Amino acid sequence: MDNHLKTGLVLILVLAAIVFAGPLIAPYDPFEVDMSVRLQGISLAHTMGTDQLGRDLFSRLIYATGTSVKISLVVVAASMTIGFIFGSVAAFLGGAVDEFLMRIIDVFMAFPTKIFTIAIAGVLGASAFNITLALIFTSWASYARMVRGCVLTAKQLPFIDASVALGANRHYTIVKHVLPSVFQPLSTFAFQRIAHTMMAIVGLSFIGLGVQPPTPELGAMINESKNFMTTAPHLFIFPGLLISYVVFSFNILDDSLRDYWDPRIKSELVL
Amino acid sequence: MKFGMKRLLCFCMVALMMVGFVGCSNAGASSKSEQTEMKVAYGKDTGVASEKGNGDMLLTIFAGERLVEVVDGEVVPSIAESWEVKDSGKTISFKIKEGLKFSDGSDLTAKEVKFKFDRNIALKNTSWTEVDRIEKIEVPDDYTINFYYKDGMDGYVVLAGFAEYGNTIVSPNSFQTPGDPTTPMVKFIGSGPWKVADYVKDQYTTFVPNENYAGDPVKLEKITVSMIKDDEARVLALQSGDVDAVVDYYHGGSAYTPRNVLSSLKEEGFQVLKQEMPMTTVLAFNYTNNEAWKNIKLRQALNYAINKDEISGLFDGWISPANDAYFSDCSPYTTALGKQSYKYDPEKAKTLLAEAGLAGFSPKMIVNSENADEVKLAELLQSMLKESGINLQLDVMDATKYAEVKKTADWDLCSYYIGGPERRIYSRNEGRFDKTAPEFGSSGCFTSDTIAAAVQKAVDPFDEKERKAGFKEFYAAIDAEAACVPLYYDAVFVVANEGVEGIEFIGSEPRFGQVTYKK
Repeated sequence: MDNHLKTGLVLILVLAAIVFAGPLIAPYDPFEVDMSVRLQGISLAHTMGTDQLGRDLFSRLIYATGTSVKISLVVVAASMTIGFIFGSVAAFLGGAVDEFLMRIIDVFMAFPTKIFTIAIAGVLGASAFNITLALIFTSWASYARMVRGCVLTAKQLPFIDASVALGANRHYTIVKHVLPSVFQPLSTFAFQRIAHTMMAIVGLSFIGLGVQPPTPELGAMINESKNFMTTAPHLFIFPGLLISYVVFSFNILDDSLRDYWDPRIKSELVL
Repeated sequence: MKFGMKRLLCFCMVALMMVGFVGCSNAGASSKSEQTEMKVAYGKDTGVASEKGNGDMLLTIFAGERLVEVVDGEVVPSIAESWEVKDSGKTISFKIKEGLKFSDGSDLTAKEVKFKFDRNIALKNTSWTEVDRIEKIEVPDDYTINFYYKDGMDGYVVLAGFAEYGNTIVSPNSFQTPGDPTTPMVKFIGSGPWKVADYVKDQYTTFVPNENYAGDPVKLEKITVSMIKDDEARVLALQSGDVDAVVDYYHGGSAYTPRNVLSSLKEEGFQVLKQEMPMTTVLAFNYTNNEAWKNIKLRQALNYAINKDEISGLFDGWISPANDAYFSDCSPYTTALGKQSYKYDPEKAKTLLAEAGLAGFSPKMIVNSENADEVKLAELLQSMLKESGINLQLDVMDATKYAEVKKTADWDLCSYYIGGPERRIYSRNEGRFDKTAPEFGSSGCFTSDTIAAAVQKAVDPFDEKERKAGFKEFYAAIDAEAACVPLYYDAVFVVANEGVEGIEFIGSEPRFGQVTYKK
């Protein structure tokens, strides 16, 4: 295991601790309003200051990170599952089914993803559930296309022919040989998409189409800080830093996992 | 490096430094020059061209006049020099001032006045609440106009209604087919201190002095009102020097400078001018769709559960908490005539809820996500009500959906307002609290027969003493029935560069006629 991968894993573990053990770490109730301490800067009592309603920013950031990351994970997991089913069915069955499914996927991929997501979230209304639906709706097609490509490639590999020649049936070959070969590129792609999805959630919440108040969310928190850039800069600095941290962590892990699973890529890059 | 190249580099660096020093020079910094033009940012289109409309409020104040105006609660002359109510209240007759002209030089007589009201009637312009009550309008001579009412006029509220923005008198030449009041308005030819020189929809309107104006001439040569819809973008335009002032929506309540940037703007050296208005933001109950709100104990509990000082704190103290009267001191017939009897007392709220059998009540509040202040206010209310055992659910949605949902039964509470700009204090109170008023419709507050009778006593009498007595009864009635929860007194703000002088408020409306600007 190289240092990059170790770094990525440590960063993700810290993030996981924030996301899943948030309530244990947060010093205050993130929803607790205290107007007597509104817009306070960094202090011992409030390590990252307070917001417009006197809520502890550190506690809200912990919950906000959890909100964004959990939605990202759900979106990626659901999109991956749907994409996997569509892609593998298209590749295995081929012919008219493949053609039909691919045209559906083409239709989904033809739309500009961000605008399509905004449109869906706008029509459905702003909420965490609707934003999740909108993102799944616009992301699954890229997974499906990727899975189809991997399965088609795997089907033509010599060891698959060998397996069939040795008498393995179709089901055994698919489960034991084809699907595992799709797992690695799919996982790498999914890790890459987590950071991407996270940015989409933050963006949608920033423009008011995502998670709704009083639930803390990183994009919404930055949006709320707009009017306090000069008077309370901590309101946008800390959420901004946290977004960078989350995206950086997933990107590092994605890169190092790709190198770990397929060392040829790294050696080709070095060459 | 060759010697020639070095010399060239040295020369360039010295030249750059000299340019830099010139930039840092103090020369000319202390002398401010008199400006003849000014740029103002505004959150709405002025509506100079409109199919059925009458123009935005800013436009009608800048470039228009009405038969009468309302100042300090009293109807005062404007285009009309006098008026008389005749035939036992069935007719109101206005005497028009002689010699008035529109900005295009054409005469403004009773015939032109009638033309505007014909348009309002033909297009069913609801901003004039009397549209359906008029039997006929007659012009017996060039300077007299008579309005005949089918069932008689209500009283002072009707007279004050002639000061409505929608009743601004414009020339028949303003319309696509001059003289046809049903055709779209294509230009705004009024008789106010300014006239429209140029207009691009949703972008800007340029005003220049109206040389035919009967009052004091304006001092600036040009004011350009730029339409910048986004609240924060208007502030940025001011900070970057693109505009010289930012003006709130003349009606108040929307398209205003965010209250929580006012302190920073003041620190940055801008002037912040505030004018309170007879408009109060309230928490309104959806009592027509939800039986629970008909229980007075629930309405009282809400009144006790809200700490209005904290609401004022949310806006950095720029907005006054509605702790005393139903309207601020700026308007007549307010503090002196009616105090609220509810003071912040969460324990009392809890007791009342328990008595009403509504412990753990969980109302739904709809919130317009496009108004950041409203969202924060809702979050604060949620926290306050929790203390009294009320579990407020927030449903935040965009403006379009908000307007749709508000018409349905699917909500309990919303942030709303009573009153309005001064010229509307009579019609708006009647419209909010009397179900028979044309405006009531989907805009009504909680009301009852007692409140409706009281509001009529407040807005109908021509005698000021009677109106005051009526307002006293009206305030007492809404207080006794806890008809709404007054939250804060609204205000109109103008934020302007340091050198802008002479902005005056008439009622709650900023006027720029006597403005001078040194920059």
